[in-house]
Amino acid sequence: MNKKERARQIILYAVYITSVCCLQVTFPHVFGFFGRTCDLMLVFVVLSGYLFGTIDGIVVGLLVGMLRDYFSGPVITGMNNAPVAVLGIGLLAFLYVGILSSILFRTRFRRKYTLGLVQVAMVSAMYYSLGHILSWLYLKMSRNIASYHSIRYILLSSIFPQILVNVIAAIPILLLLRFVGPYKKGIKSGLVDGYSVEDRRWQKI
Amino acid sequence: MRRLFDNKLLVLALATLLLIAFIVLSAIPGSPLSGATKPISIIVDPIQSVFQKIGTKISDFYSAIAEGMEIRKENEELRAEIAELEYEVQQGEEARIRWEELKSAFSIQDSFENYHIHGASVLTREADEWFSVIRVNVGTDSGIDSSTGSYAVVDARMNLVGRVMTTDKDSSKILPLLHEGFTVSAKVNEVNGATVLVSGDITLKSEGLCVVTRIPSNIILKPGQELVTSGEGGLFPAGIPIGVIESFDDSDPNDLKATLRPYAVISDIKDVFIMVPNEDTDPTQESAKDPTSSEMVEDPSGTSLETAAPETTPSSETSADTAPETPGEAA
Repeated sequence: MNKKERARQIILYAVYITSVCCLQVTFPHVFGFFGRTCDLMLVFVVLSGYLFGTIDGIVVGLLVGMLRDYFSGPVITGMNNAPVAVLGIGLLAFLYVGILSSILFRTRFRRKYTLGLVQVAMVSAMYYSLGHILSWLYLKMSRNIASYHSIRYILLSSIFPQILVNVIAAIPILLLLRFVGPYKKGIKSGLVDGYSVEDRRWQKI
Repeated sequence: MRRLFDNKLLVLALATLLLIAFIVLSAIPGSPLSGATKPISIIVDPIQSVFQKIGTKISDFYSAIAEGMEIRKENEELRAEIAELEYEVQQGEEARIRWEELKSAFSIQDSFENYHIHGASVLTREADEWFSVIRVNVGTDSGIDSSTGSYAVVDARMNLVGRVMTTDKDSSKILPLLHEGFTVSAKVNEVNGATVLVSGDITLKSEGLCVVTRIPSNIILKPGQELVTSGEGGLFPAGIPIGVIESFDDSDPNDLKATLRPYAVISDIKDVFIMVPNEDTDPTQESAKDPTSSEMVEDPSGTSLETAAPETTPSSETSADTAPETPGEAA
């Protein structure tokens, strides 16, 4: 990668990461459908990992996770029993989202753009399912609160609508990364070179 | 050593452990990690403000076009209304002078007069169910410092919105009252009203409701009854309106519960006000006694504004029951 390509990569990633994070938390109502807000941050990390590999997935995941923690970090009951805004949960969650997105569909499928939408749906389902499980466990263990959303609510009002809005949001982001992405023609040359065997070719457009 | 780092799973496990340690450390009160966001805030806050300004301008422009006809009609109605209001203002000025005389004669205290109120605009909202803190555009530079204590946050009508969690240079994180980590000691806004505990509840959050617990066994809450902060615990001054009772569940006499609909609609709020006690104020002694008073308010640009006082008349505090505020703070 020459200097020009490196500069393009850094600048575009910086612009997209800040834009995606700021837009989601500043104008959530603009990106809301079916009572849910598109998780632009999650979608961006998934597609970056899916299209451009593990390293990109990890770096983008960590940066987006850091901004998610900063903008609207989760609150837990601290050691003095008072609520505390913690740092690091977004970092950890999005690190794994980035890695997972770059691993799924790696060997069994050719890496095509339409499959990116399936990837977004799958990772969204995993993220929100795990989020509900951990949230329920946390409430049960830390505060002995047994009541939580019903399975019906979790599926019909949380996970399914969220998958739907995330897939809708993934279409413009996918096109953006493909045509005005951090890599020329939407292809990271290192990935193609590394998997040049015909049956396993990535990013065949 | 290099071989060690070639093992990707090991590196991932180490990174995970490091991040878990980071999370645990950041949860410790007074941890140096709580200041870790300050460098981020220096870079990100101005960018985020630019996004907000651009978005607001686009929204205003779109509204101006879309609502042009409506605005013209409304303008005509407003002109007529202004004429009526001017007359009322003259009468109000007379009443104000009389009120000042009475206030001086009877030594009546203004509501929340020992608090300095900082106006702030909402910068960011929740990202999902779990990342649900609100961020506003005042921080340590404006004199809001969470290291010296937390502060109550109210809306333009002085209804409770939440509390300040952490502060950075130019921004602060606010825990909204619908969040399951939020608790406040409240009382029924009546003479000798019962003291109860209002908390956020994960199952009621999506409906915009809070749960009311620790209701004394001899008390029946009726839908429509208003709850205000009791002032116990010291964080919130007494008399801030919280909301009205939506339903009451007495199926278990030992565990009476009710749901409360807060006055403040968090998703619609654009501006909030942070109540910072003056240095010589004891919040537990503070009580809203005068429903007609007003406060001098400092808006985000630093100029002083006049805001309406709460529309309620909080009663005197003589309740026998007590309930602590957010855990840990009553102590």
